[in-house]
Amino acid sequence: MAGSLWARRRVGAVAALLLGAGLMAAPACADLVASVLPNVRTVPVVSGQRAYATAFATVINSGAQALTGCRVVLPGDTSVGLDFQTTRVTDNSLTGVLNEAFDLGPGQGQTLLLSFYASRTLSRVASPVVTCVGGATSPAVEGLSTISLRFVGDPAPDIIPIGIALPDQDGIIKVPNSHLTGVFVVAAVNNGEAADIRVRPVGRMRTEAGFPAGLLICETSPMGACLASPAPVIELAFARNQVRTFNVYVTGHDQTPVAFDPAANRVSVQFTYGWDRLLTGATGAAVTVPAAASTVAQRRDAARFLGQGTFGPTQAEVRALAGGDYAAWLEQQFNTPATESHAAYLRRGGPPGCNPCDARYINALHESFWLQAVTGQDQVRRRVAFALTQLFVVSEVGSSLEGNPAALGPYLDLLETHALGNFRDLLREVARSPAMGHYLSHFRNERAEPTTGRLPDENFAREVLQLFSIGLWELNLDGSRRLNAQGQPIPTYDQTDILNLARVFTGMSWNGPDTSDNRWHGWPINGVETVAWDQPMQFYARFHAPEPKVILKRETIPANTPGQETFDRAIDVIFNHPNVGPFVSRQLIQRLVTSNPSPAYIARVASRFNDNGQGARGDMRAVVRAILLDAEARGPTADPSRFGKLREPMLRFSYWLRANGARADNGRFMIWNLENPTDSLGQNLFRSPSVFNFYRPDYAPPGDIAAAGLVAPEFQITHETSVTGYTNAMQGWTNYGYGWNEGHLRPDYSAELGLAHTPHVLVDYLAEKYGVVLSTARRDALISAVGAIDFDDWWGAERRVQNAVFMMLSVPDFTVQK
Amino acid sequence: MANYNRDIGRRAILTASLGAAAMAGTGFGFTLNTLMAASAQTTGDYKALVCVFFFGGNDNSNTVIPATGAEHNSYATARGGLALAQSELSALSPTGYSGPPLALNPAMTNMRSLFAAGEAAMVANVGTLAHPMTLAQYQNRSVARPFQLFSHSDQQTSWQTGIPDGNARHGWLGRIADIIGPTFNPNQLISPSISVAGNSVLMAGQTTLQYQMSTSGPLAIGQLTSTSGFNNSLEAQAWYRQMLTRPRAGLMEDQYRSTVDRAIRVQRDASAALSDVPAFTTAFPNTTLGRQLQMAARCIGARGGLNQSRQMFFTSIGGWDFHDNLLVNQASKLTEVDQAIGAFQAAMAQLGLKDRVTLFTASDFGRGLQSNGRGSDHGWGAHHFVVGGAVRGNRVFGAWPDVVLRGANDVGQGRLLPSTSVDQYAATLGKWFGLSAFELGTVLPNLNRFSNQDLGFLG
Repeated sequence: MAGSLWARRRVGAVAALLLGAGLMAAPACADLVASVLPNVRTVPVVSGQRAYATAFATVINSGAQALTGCRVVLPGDTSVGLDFQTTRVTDNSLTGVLNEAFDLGPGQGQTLLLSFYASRTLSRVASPVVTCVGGATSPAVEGLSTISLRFVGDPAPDIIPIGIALPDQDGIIKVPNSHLTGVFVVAAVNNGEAADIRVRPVGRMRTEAGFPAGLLICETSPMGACLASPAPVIELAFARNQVRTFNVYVTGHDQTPVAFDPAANRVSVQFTYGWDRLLTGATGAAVTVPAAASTVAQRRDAARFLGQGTFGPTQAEVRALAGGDYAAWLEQQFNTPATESHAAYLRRGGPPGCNPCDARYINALHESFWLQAVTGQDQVRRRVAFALTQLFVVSEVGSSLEGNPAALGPYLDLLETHALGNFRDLLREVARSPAMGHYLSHFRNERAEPTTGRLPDENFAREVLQLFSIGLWELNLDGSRRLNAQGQPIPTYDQTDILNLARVFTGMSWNGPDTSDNRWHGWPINGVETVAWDQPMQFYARFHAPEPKVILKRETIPANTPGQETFDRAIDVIFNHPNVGPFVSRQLIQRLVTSNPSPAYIARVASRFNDNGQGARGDMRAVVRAILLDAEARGPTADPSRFGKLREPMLRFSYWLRANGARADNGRFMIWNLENPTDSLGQNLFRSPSVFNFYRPDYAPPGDIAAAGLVAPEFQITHETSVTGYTNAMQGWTNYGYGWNEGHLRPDYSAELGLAHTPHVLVDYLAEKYGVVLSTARRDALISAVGAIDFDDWWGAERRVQNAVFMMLSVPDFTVQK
Repeated sequence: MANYNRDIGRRAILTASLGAAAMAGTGFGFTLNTLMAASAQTTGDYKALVCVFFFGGNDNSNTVIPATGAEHNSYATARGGLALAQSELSALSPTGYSGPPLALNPAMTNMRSLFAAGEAAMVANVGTLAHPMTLAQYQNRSVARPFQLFSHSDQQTSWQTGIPDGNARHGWLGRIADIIGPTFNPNQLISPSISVAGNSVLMAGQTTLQYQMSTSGPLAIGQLTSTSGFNNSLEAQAWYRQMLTRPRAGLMEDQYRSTVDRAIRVQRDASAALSDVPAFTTAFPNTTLGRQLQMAARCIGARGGLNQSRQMFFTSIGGWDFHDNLLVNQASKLTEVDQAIGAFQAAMAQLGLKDRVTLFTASDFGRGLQSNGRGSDHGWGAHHFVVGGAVRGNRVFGAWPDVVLRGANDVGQGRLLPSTSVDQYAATLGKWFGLSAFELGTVLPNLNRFSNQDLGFLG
């Protein structure tokens, strides 16, 4: 019995006490209950010689009657013998006489040492029970009062858990609430031979096929720090007599509460070895998970809302907002200041605290954009500004802005500065931005030259009307075209209007204290640079068209009016055109919520554009509020088959980055090249092929969508090549992260890994996380796909998780936002 | 239904198995029909149309230029700083042409050679028209104009739909494909309407779905062609395929689903045919358009394997909106176009298909003759090129316009009122492609408004 005596020193009183406490806390259990610890023993046996496996037991009389003559017996098992002896609860020292019956008063407990013995190799689960005079008998509960005994001929490891510690010291793992994690600590010693041991936490629940909580384990230092990231399973070389400690994390996550039922709902830690995974040690505890604070429907809706208004929901935000006040959340967002400007990132050459700060070129602007998209707190501002980059389009492609962060950084900053401000300021600042001036060529546009007949460049004059403000046709408040008496749509402008407006945008060049020729041309003055991308263009009177300008046949600006005044008046005429509300509202709805808003929805938003309720026009907060809080955005729609939009590829990517807290060691988001459709997203910031963005608001792919008279802009960049490129790119990124080396953006899948044991739980978790509603058939298919990847295979848990994420993000149920 | 991509799986399997039987020399199941279909595809009646679209509105005035004389002088006067010098220009000698001497932009050396070889022609001043229209009718608005002249997006759409006075979701090449597909390509493996340059209205038919080909050929979804990512689980892969391809109730979801489904099928069916195409002896330039036209040439080379005796391709090159830096940038763009077209014609010669493939250019619109100082502004009519052995080459079709401000075709700032409509241009191509007059009428609903329905540039 050397082994069992040795073990006895280590299977300390703490464990027995805890176990007992766990039982005592059990309300209305059977009158007599017993538990055994450890639940697994492996001991060597030489045939014909008796070998012993010891364990501790606790028995409790929870009834009102005193019980006498209690004994521990092993019913119906002739090949294994059992001795028992009472012990003192405080230190497990032996107190009674071997195999002598004991008494139990009402509510009283007794600790015991059990000694199982056999004389040949065998393997079985023994179910010792306590039985007293009068017939009271403790029930045999698997994993609680049973012990898996293996008497083995060859040397084998014998892992004995020697301690299990819980915060409340009552033997119950109480997951604090549905989104936090319960931890318990397990210590174990190998009482047998050295072996490679696989350690895995296993959940069990009476009513569910799978355990509805995440389970992860790590080995810890003596101070309790994880030596590696927690994983569903760990493997380690366990030497003889070595003591090792583990943290087990239990994460409640969904709507399935786990009741206190210590016999049924338990988490155990199993130690196995060998190719056939023989069990050589186990310990466990009861677990409880309270009901979540919000319902699945509430969380789904919160994820949907956040998906519309941000660069993607995170679990923490979803759970904080679920069932809450969206309007209040929006106000909070409106008042969240910008974390920092892109210009600041460019100046520094990296994120705050960078070292080295060597972000350069246009790459630095992409990094800054993604840093804010993924980590910025002012999500609504950034998301609306991103939508505005697709309305007030400038692009590097085929333009003088190629590779010019000095131009594009301040441009993105100005869109973000005014995204939640007033549309008039947006329009005005865009129109006098040097980046836009270069892109649509009104920078240094000159007045007409009568001698040669040269006229001002019309480019910006045309596009500011067609694309940035009023569009081609006169609109009703609800976005439909106004018709004339003959039933024909009415153009908003003609060539005469363009000629007049082109005159307005003349004589504009670099900002500065003077209007010298050098500054006009961007040449240095006394060695001082005059190029000022971060300042609005200013007017140079001698190049500004002096003729009178009739703006949209609504207002005549007299001849020789100064340039800046002319400009401001023209901008005001455009801004006050009745088309702006419906024109801009529809496109913002398309970017944020749905491709085909109902006319009534457009009208509701446009009327907020026209008047925010306090008489102000163009209040972007009122517009964003009206878009995101509208019944059509929030509620179920009459025809869900038509509702929603194809998520922009960049947003699918940002969802993934945010949902998984992807970070790189160097704190940067080195996401530079996304525009190739064959192996990436086919979309990138400031990389659209023309001022018409990657897609037009009225694009309808041929087929059912066009036949139904609907539009689906994002399908303009969606074709055989791009869907394949996206799928392959996403497969790589979801599996291995984005980028490499110190800039490698790695997703945190720890929650998913904890659920990999049970595919349906994992799938439901991911559906909630990404706000995806799967049909029963699709859910079943995904569960089957995940389940077909062997959990016990090498990297099985990781492969399950990576593929589950990849599949979820590549199927139409995700790529389309509902 | 000529809905090529929704039902090709069964055909592909059938064709593949027949092909395999024939290769194995068994002869069983190798029917006379199959033999005849195969022979029809390898000889005889093959034709392809290739569109090169210049997105942004190419400046016509500096693409084809009066080379000498009074016409050059009036050009130079109107253009000011944008004018190309007479010394840079070298006049063509078009057959049967009596107008002012014309030169191509000096960047277009290959095109010039193709003119000389009789394999390229020009169609002058072609553009969108809702009806035949005189300048007076334009000015007094007595005849309906195309919608939204001078707007990039609208005029691109009008050029491609051929319906400038209506809203259409499909284009004239797509509608041609609707008609020719069942007749000429009964067993085709992929859509006859192949875009190498993203989704285009031109290629979308009412029943034909365009196939979007990458410049490196059909791409495969890695997780469906290898199980290693699934830890070698065929079952997981099968479930994933089902998740991708099972129909969805939502229109948006199902549109995405059907695109993925088509990508999977076409990749499977077309890759083998493309891999059999030998390399071209003349290297294509490694430019955006060069890579696109190379892929189109490879698809033409694979016509037998794809079971197609009619094909059409969409290629494009963007960045022609030269309000600024016109002189330098247009020359560099035209060089890219010229080199790519030169290589393409060489490839067609290598395939022995010069007479069977016709390439044509198109663009949003032309641009005004008037300078804005550094560039020119949005216009209307423009000059376009048709290239191929079937072209009645070295000719000028349509009416050469006055290159002068306030000339007979000037609607303002030297923007040309087109004298030839897109309908006429398209009908000439469609007739050569095999469409009857009746069929052309359905493809081009406004065609009957124009008396001349064959411009004669294809013999």
